[in-house]
Amino acid sequence: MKSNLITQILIVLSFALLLSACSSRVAIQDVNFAQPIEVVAQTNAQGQFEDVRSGLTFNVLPMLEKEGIELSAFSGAEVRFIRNHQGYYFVTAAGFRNVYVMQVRENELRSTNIIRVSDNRLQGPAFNQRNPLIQLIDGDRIINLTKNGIQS
Amino acid sequence: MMKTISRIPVLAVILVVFAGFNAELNAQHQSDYQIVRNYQAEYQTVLNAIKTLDSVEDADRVIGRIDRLNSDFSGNAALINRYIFPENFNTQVASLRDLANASRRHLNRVASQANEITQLNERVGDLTNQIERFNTESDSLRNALQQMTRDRNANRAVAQNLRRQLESRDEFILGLVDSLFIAYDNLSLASLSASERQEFALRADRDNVVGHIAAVVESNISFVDTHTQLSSADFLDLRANYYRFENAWSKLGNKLATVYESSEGRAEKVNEVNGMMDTWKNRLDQSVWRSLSASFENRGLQLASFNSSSAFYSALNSYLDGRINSLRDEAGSEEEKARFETFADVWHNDVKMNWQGNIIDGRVLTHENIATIDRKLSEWGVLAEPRGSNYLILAIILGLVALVMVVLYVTKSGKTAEAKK
Repeated sequence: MKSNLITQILIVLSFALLLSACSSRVAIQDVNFAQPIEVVAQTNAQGQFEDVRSGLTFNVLPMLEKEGIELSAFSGAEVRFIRNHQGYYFVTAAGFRNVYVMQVRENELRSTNIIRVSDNRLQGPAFNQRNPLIQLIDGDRIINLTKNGIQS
Repeated sequence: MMKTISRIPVLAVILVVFAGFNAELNAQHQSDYQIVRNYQAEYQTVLNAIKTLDSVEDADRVIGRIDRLNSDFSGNAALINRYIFPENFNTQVASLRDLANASRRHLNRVASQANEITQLNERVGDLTNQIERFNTESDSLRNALQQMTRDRNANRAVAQNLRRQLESRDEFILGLVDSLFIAYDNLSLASLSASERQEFALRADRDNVVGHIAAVVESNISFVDTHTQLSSADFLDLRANYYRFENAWSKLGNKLATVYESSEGRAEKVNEVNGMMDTWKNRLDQSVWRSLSASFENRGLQLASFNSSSAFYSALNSYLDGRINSLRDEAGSEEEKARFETFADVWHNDVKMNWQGNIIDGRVLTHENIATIDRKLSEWGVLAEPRGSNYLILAIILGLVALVMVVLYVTKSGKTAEAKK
């Protein structure tokens, strides 16, 4: 009776292992998403932004609302983003006061952090990849960023 | 003091650190994106410049610009490489260099060919200039030739004018001499008293008779020496003048010699004039004989050389005798007839028609000499006539006569035979 129980347990374990093998998920660790250079492109009249190289497209309208900028005043303006090694997108533009840290979701970019980088609107911002940091320069100012905020 | 010195290195270190920090700060102010965009813009500009190169100098400038591009952006090559992948900074710069160098070589070749074309054009231009210069020189020479022709004619006119002037002066001097001695022309100097002879001599001295005559002779010698290209007619004319002058001088000279015989200085002057007269005659004779010889030679008639009147006459005679003697041995011919006609043309049209007066007056030939030449020339003309055509006509006539006679004889013989039958 005891041996039957052991046999039954082994059979169940074998099935469990077999099932786990059939429904496997691959997870790759230590991926570096860092883009060497920021992507800069103009938005159209609807606020649509497109990175021709990667094919990434999104609309900046939610950010403009957050910045308090009219779409009509922003049409044709340059939006720039860069991706850090962790895969977060850092997005900003001239006229913004914030850098938006965005995370990729299904058909979605969702902000994980909005970093207030200036009380005044940025004049000519630019991102540099300084892995593990993202460097924001604006005129004479240099700000090092992480997904969590400004790195002092 | 020591404290101050020890602070200096510390201060220097701070300055260096600050400078390095500042440099870092400046470097950090650059946008990577902008660096790449700047590189791409410069790369594109250089590429476009290469496409529109049109001279070696432009190519050199572009190559210099590529060097600057390389030095300016090579520090960011890794950054640029990430952005321009799969292109590469080094390969792009190398491509620019290759393109620029290839364009430069091509442009250099074109420039070299253009240079050759330019040189050829310049050569053509030079040749054209040379041709124009030759044309100009040719025109100049033609003008000079025409001028020389005019000058020669002018010289001839000048010579004739000078000769006329000389003749006028000669006549004036001779007139002076004549007027001086007109009273004594038929006077025997031997009958003059010593005082009369002295007065005669003094008057002659006062009028500078010998000096004038010496000047005339000297002028004529100079004229002959400087006018060697005159025609035979001109020289014969001069020779005739000489004899007229010599004739007058011989009379006056003898009288002057007589009245000057007591004065050694005056007699010497007369002798000097006599010597000058000889010089004049010799120079004139040389020109006359050379000119006469050339007149015949120019017509293809080779006379024996001569340097005197008798030799000239002898040369004419020898030539004619030679032709006549040769025609006694062989018949005349067209060639001989042509030679005769040439000689006859020179003799009749030049010697006799143009020169005869001066030949006689100049004592080159006498009337008897001319008559002798005429006679021999006529004889030569008869003998020179080709006889071939006459003999042929005579032979044909004789042949016809003989044929007629044969026909008559045969006809007559036939009739006689029939009558006998």
